[in-house]
Amino acid sequence: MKKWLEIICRLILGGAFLYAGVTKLPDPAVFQEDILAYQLIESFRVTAYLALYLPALELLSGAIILLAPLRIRGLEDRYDLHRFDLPAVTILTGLMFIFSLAYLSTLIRGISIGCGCFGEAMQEWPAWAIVLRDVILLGCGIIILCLRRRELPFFRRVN
Amino acid sequence: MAKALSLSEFGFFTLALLLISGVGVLRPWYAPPEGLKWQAPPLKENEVLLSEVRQWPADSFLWIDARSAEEYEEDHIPGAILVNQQDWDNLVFANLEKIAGAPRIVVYCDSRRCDAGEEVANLLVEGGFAQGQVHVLHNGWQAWQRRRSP
Repeated sequence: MKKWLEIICRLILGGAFLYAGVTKLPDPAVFQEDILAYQLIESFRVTAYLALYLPALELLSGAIILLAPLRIRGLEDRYDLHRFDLPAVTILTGLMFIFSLAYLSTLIRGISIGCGCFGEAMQEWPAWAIVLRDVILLGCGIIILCLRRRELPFFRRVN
Repeated sequence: MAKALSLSEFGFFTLALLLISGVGVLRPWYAPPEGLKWQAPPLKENEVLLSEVRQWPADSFLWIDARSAEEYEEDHIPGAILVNQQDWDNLVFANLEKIAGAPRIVVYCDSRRCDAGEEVANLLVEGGFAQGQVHVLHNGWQAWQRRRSP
């Protein structure tokens, strides 16, 4: 049961970020405009670097959390991808946390924007749908971390 | 179950992942992406900064709000009149005296991402104003919201 819960959460979180990375990677200029629309960072230089960096991080981490649990027979000892697994889940959960806060701040400040999360796609989503999606993705990350807490260094002593 | 990571291993792999993604940032060197802006684009010819407009005497120009009627109703720059493209004829007609009597006009829309200000300014120029008389507020309503009190 727990195994399936984890698999579902991985598919949702990993799939969403893989998709987000793939749609944003080809056109950083559009993503830069989306970041600027949040009106949180005004510097063009910083947003240009972020527009280049974030899609790469999302793509890589998303791919890792989908691929890491796969065990290739005979290669278990040589194949180190699973060591990147929990760091990737932690990074994605952290990113989701930051993105959700950024989106909430636009709602509070009354700026109406699409979230820019998936490039041109889903720009027309209503705010409640974006919030719901953020909550689900954040939840998936937290669930995976909770299920695997024994493998995380921070909780070792508690267990 | 996989072996637990120690704190230093966890930190190492997290940092490694963050650094490997940095390959994305190197892209301008091997495949420069089109349209990415490294600096704020220069002001267009008819654009003015809010700081500049605020030094003009209040009776020397007219604010025109080119946003939607709902946005105007919600809040607008004091003294601004609503003239947008959606209802161009009616709004111009209703405010004809004010518009025709204005020595200068500053149009604004929502932010630097909207074209409505630019388009209304063009329509005004087509309607007989001189190029130098009609200005567009740089960053629009956003700039006004962020202004510091004088």
